[in-house]
Amino acid sequence: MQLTEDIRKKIAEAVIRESAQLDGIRPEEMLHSVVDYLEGAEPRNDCTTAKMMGHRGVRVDEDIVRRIAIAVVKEAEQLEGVDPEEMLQKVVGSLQGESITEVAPVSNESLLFTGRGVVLEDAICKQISEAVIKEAAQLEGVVPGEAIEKVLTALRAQPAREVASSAALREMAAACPVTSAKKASARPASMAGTERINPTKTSYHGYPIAEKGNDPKEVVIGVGPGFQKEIQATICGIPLAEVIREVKAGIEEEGMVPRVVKVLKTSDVCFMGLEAAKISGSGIGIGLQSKGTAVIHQKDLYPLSNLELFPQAPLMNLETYRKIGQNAAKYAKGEQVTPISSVNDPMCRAKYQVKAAIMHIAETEQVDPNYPIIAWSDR
Amino acid sequence: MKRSKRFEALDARPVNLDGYISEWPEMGFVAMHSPYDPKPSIKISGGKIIELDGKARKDFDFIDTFIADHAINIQRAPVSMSIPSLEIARKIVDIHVPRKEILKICSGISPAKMAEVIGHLNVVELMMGMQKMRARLRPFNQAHITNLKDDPVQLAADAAEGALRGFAEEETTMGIARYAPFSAMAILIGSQAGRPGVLTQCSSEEATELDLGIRGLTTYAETVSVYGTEKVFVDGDDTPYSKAFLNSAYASRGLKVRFTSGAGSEVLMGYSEKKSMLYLECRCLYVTKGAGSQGTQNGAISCIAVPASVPSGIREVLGENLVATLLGLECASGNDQSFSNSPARRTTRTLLELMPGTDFIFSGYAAEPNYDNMFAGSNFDAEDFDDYNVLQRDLQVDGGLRPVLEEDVIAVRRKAAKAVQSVFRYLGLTEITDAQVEAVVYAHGSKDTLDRDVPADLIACEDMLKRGITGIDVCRALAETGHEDIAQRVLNMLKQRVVGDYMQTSAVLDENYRVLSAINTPNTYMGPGTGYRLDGERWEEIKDIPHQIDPHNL
Repeated sequence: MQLTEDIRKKIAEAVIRESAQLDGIRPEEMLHSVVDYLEGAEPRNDCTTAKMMGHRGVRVDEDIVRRIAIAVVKEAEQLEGVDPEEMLQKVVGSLQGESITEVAPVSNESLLFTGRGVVLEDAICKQISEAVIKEAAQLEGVVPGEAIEKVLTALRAQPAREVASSAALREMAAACPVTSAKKASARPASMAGTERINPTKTSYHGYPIAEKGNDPKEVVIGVGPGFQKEIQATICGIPLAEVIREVKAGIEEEGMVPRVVKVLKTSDVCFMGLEAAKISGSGIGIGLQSKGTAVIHQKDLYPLSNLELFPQAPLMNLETYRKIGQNAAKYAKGEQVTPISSVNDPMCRAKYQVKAAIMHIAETEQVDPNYPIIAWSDR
Repeated sequence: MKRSKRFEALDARPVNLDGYISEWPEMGFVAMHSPYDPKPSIKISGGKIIELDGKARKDFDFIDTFIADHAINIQRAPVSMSIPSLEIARKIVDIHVPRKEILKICSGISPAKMAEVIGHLNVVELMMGMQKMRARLRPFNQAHITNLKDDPVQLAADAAEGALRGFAEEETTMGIARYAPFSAMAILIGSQAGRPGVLTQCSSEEATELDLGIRGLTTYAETVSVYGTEKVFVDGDDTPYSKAFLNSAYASRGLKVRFTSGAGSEVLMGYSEKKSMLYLECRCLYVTKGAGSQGTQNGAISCIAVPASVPSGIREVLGENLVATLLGLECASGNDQSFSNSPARRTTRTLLELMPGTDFIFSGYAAEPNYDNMFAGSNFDAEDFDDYNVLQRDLQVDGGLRPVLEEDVIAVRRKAAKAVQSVFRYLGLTEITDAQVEAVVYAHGSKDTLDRDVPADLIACEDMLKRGITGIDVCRALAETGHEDIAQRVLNMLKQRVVGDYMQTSAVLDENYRVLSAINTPNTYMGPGTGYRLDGERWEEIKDIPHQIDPHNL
């Protein structure tokens, strides 16, 4: 068995980074030690990788699980004649018995795979375990023990048959959304070859179609297809539950009645706003994309026209969302409204446009013309 | 991890605030070539294109149909398609092959072939191509005139200053869309106060924009957007045919029109169909040509951060500018939107068009500080005026601007602001105080001016539309309130609508309303000693920057 170049590189990078955290340890020395270890010799000193990890303590996010899962598959694929499914289960089994400080001794349980007629050396077991740990180490502030727990949970959640091939596991791994902010030096895995951001489309079968309202006090908020499902927070991280709460509060403050619908026929903010306006008892609607872009619309305006547009989502805050609710309600009452002052950050595009594109793709993937507009009760 | 101080310093550099992503063809994050791009082909039968880029006519989407029926010269196609792409690429940079011959060849190639041709050119070759293929002999520049308050007084003053600084076209847009009538009127007056003959535009919702144009409050339109995939078109409630109708609507009223497209829009809208940005932009430009538009505003435009995020993305942007010129279109070459926090990156991006020269280097240079730029920031702004002037002087290139004197700027700003004040009074619109005029004359941006009564302004805007106020009313108001010279200039601009010569490819007007276009002043570049050379009076103007050492005062 051999480690792929990719894994070697990752391990080396991880080791260097980890050792930099430990006082009195030179990264070069540590790297030699780990190389020796991987090649089957005893480490030159007692600082095992696992021990190095012990300094950390932050939560593990979905992305880590995805990466760890991929690492396991990669390792499994290195063994000739080994069935990935069984391999995975063995790994899971061995990991289950271990706490973080005991990961290194896993290597002693060399009989792990012998039942299958394949003789595995200690070093291989070590390497597999270590690979998992080291993948966990790629992300800053991660307790590997927690990472392993997550992997176990993820692996256990899959019925054995569905983990029958590495392809299946890959798919499972890909299902984890790309959300976490990585440390500066970690390069994200390439997405080339992946056709979607979320592999499955949410079905809204059975949800009630939103009806046209008659209450002249009603202001309808039309949220995007991915709202509070695939996407939980705006482009600048404001939880969507809070966003919708503020918009509704703004409407109520003005004595009007909010109603939330989910627009599934389009992900374009202007069309969403117009769809909302068309079924609104007052004829005023708010379009709200999951990334936070918003518009106040009126049923008889051109689609790409509007009463007020808030095109720079990264500049939005909860106060603005509340004002949007207030202003929409004022339009519904037929008052003369002072539009919310424009804000502008000329460097917004540089920082956020790519993220906006990814979020919009994730939202657009969920467009479903079969259920054009449905009632939506936020949580 | 204990951090390296070197890496900490590097991480804090502005360039690392920009967004980057590795190539992801399935989502369209690929600049010049996607493995899913089609292979070039054209098959003709019965006088019709029956196969385009590997797709049979029965499988065409409406973009394919439109391109096949309106954008490719069928007589020319068999010969053009038989020339290897590499050979066409070489002809483009060969100074012995004239522009006209290249245009002839390119009139008969398919969009996929066009993308293939561009793929053979490195960034210097793309610039060489642009130098030869630009439609008009002399390059010019376009300004964005906007502010955060949608203040018409500031718009007029900035338009006047911009005109004085050399911009041949000025474009405005609004934070609050309903301000459009004020904005259009303000830059019409301001531009003519600064320099006669400057063309103006008010970018707004299409029906409003057309209305303002028909009223004679604008002289050109630019935001006629086209897209490279059918789904994005549909999302924008449009088709190539509806855009062609819109183009005709403007043209029939004597307005200059150019279309808008650019890399990244399909990615941002979520419907790239796995194609490269360059290939999709080629489709856009063929639609533009097929719809009969004289030109395009392209070069990624508002989606610039998308191509800029992938490898070779900025090269692609120049590549798509070149495609426009290869199709014989006027090219207002982008540079109009901020995309990078890095001064090195943003300057380099602009040099690609500034050095070879394009019809309009910027399709919107922010002639106000960027915080006031309502297109969400341009690549260069008012604070870069001197940098830009020095760049022109360093390289001896014509970027369309010139150094100006502070007293001249103050004078035209006052002239414009007072004219707008008078017109507002004459037409019974909202009040513009003397204090506001004074504040605006000396202002850098809207942080230095007074606030407007927004609800009152919006009522007046609506009223202005209802009352059917047109360019002639503006002209009369100016004449009746002692601004005869500006009134005459506005009237002359209205006359252009009837004459129509400025609807020719790449047309601008000089201060005597003489048209400079690809028809009467075409690009004649064929190597050293030919084409547009920056010399004579224009070079003297560019040389004469302020802040030079005066040997008498040492």
